[in-house]
Amino acid sequence: MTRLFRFIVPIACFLIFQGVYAIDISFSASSGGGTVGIAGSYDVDDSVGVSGKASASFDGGVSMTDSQSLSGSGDADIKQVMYGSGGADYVLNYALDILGATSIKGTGRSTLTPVAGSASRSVSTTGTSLMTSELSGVQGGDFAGVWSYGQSADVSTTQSVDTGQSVTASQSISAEGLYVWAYGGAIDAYGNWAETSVGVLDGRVVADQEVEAGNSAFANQTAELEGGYGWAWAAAEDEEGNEAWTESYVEDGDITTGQYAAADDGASASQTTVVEGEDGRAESYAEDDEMNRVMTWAMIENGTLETDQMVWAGEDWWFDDEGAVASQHTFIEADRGNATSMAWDDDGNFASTSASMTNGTLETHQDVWAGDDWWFDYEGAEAYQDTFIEADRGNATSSARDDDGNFANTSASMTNGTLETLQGAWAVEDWGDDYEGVEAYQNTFIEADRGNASSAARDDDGNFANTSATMTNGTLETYQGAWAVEDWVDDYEGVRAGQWTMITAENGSAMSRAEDTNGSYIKIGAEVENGSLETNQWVEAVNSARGYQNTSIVGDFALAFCEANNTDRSYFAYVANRIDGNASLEFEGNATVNASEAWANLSSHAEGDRIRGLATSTFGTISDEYWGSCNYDIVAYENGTSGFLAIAKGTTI
Amino acid sequence: MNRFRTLTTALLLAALISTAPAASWTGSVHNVTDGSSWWIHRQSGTMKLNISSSVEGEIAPIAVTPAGRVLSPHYSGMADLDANDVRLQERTAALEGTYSSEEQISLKAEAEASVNRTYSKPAGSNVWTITLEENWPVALNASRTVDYVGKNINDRDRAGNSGDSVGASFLYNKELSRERNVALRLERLNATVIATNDTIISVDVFPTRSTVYYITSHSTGIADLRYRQLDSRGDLINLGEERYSGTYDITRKVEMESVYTNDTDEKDWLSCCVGGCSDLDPCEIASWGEVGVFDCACS
Repeated sequence: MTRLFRFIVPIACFLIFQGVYAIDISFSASSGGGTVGIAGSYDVDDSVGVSGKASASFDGGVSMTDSQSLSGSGDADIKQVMYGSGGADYVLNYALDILGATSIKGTGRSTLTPVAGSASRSVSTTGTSLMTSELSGVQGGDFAGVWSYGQSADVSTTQSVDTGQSVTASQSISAEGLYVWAYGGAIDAYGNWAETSVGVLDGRVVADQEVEAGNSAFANQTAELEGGYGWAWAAAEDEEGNEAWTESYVEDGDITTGQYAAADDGASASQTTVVEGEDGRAESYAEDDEMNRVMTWAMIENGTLETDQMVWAGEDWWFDDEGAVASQHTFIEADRGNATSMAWDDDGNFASTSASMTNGTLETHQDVWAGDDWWFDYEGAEAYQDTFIEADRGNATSSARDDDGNFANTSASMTNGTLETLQGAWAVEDWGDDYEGVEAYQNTFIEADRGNASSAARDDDGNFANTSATMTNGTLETYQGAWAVEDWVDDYEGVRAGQWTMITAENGSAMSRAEDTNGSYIKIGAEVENGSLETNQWVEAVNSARGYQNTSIVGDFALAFCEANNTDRSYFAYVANRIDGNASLEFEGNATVNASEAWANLSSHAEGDRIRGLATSTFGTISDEYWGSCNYDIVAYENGTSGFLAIAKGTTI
Repeated sequence: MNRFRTLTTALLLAALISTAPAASWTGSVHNVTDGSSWWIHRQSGTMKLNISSSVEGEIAPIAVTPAGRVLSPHYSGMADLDANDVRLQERTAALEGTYSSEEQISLKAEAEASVNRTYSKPAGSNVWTITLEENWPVALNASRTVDYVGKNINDRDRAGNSGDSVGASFLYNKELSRERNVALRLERLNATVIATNDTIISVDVFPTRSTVYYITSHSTGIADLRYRQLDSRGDLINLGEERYSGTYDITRKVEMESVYTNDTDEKDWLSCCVGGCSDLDPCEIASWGEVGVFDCACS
């Protein structure tokens, strides 16, 4: 008998045989240095019938088979220990506790040898005040077990456990009642563990669970539940401390899910889930031993959620990378829906991406990552999404913040329409040649009553850049982004934002703004009414601010401008073109502001019923008005003590 | 030389018994309510043992060193056979004299058949019935003759079969001539335990067995003859003990048989194992050597 076995058997017997009114029956057999046995403790009502038969065989080594049955009503408290020693010592434990059942039916079987054992138990109860059924096994430090629980419930469960190469436990449960619950757990000799659970309040559950321990740990379940409040989850943690879990729950609704968790040189968890109810949620989380963390979730109000989620945390997934990864593919049809993914690395870099909607549908793919040594020495946090929304309201946002305080965000939203976006954000270090910073991008198409897309970045020094596009009753297509960086190429640092945008709508505008640490800013923009606007804009702020746009507008109304404003010294430069009626504008402009000057200029070709050109500063304003077709070159400049304004026009009648 | 042969035979016998492949099983019932409990342990093996020996010689002093150190003349021999509670014990010790003996032992045991246990408590009842069923047969035949004339001989044997036992002890004999034949049979064993949630009501152990013991002797010292037979609950139902001091010629045959069907709820029986061996003569279960034989105060 090994030291472990000598330890386990007395403990198990001590725990089991504590009944005050019980009969203990044991039977063991030995041969050739091997021993098998079964011991049971029975505390049952007179109204409960119990029978069993065990047979010990000695042909070709000792072994034992056992079968048993249970029937009747009332209370039953049965505990059994099955064991083998002389080879790979093991112990199987079974405990059944039933209170106040109107009917009880149960069967069981066991097959035991000195090196391996298996046992199965089935029990069905109705009208049970309380019932628990537990079956577990331990061998060589590996443990696996399953539990079923019911309160004021009808419970039918079939459980089994096997030892040998590894320890596995499984159960199939069908239960309905005030509170029903099923759980499976496994932990191996090295500390790898995995668990899975399903439960419901005031409802029903049908589930299959399986757990295994043996130089690793696994847990999986398939479950269907319906009730006032229900949940299902699976979790795992490996011996290094990498952990992962996935779960789903619902209020006043139902869940159909398949879940899996593993601890095997890393921890992973996944689920394929459908939730339908008043409130529902499915989420997954992973954290590695370095505290790189990821999380992804999807949630609904009054609707349906379909999601595939996966999380992983560990080392050496591909090459020498380590960290945590999460992904989800989700479809939502609901009054409200949201899908979000987040990542934090161990240095404090953070990235997230999120999509949400009201009264409609949402489909999204999201991926997040946080870790170290990705590819070469690259480390940080990243988040991406590919999303389509058709709803009364929809929004998709991605943002990143690095450990120095640099921040970037990109967002798209709409009202009464569709939104399709591909976007991402990351906060990284040591990307390429010591580059670090945050970035956020999106490629978005919106067709809706209202639509907006914007991107912004702020660096740790306070430089800020933003770009946005907005429209009403039309379409908006944009590729835009913002970033705040340090040590880019030759120690460059600062913020940038830019967009290429195409709008066809009743109203449309595209604006960009950059502001330096002194509060001086540049702002460029373009607007259209009842027409189309195509613009290419970018702005940046690096202890100064500058921007550029190249814009084409066709519509009833067109406006494009460039502004540079030194708020610290209260001077500015502004140039613009405006067209009212049958407008067509080809516009290219720049704006720059720094500690000593503000400067703006434009070069354009304008057509329309009423065309105006404008240049203004603190010294004054000059303007020009025309109709038909003309070309403009306009400049505004000011340095605080002097400046000039100029409009040059070439006309074509 | 003769003494050497006899010792060799005894050691070989012990070795054969101890190295035989063993199988065992244990069953128990414990009532937590009042603490009453019962258990049974059985051990056997699938084996055969055949021994035949013949000894004839003088027990005499011998010089073992060039300086002339002389060993005291003596002979001692023992045999312990135990297969599934079918037992044969023999102890012999003799001082200087003329000694001859012949012995044949044949043992056959099987422990391959499954051992079955059942338990049941019908719904509506508080009575538990636990049964155990074993089919591990044992057959042991042993015959032995001893002839001795000399300073002193002690010769004892005992045959046991699932609690039944028969034996004879010849002590402090200057002349001893005896012939003994033993036939022990064990077919199977059934046991039934009846209990409630409050206590164990009854335990019946039913080993189907037969014991035949035949002896004829001539002795000049003490001759003790005894037999014992138990029922299914371990209660003593037949017992005989006799002591003869002096010169006697004795002939005796004891046959005991207990036959049970597989229907195990018949009568009251208890195996030897339940009562243990506490009621045996301590000298019968003690380790026997030269000193033990001649200093024995149990007679």
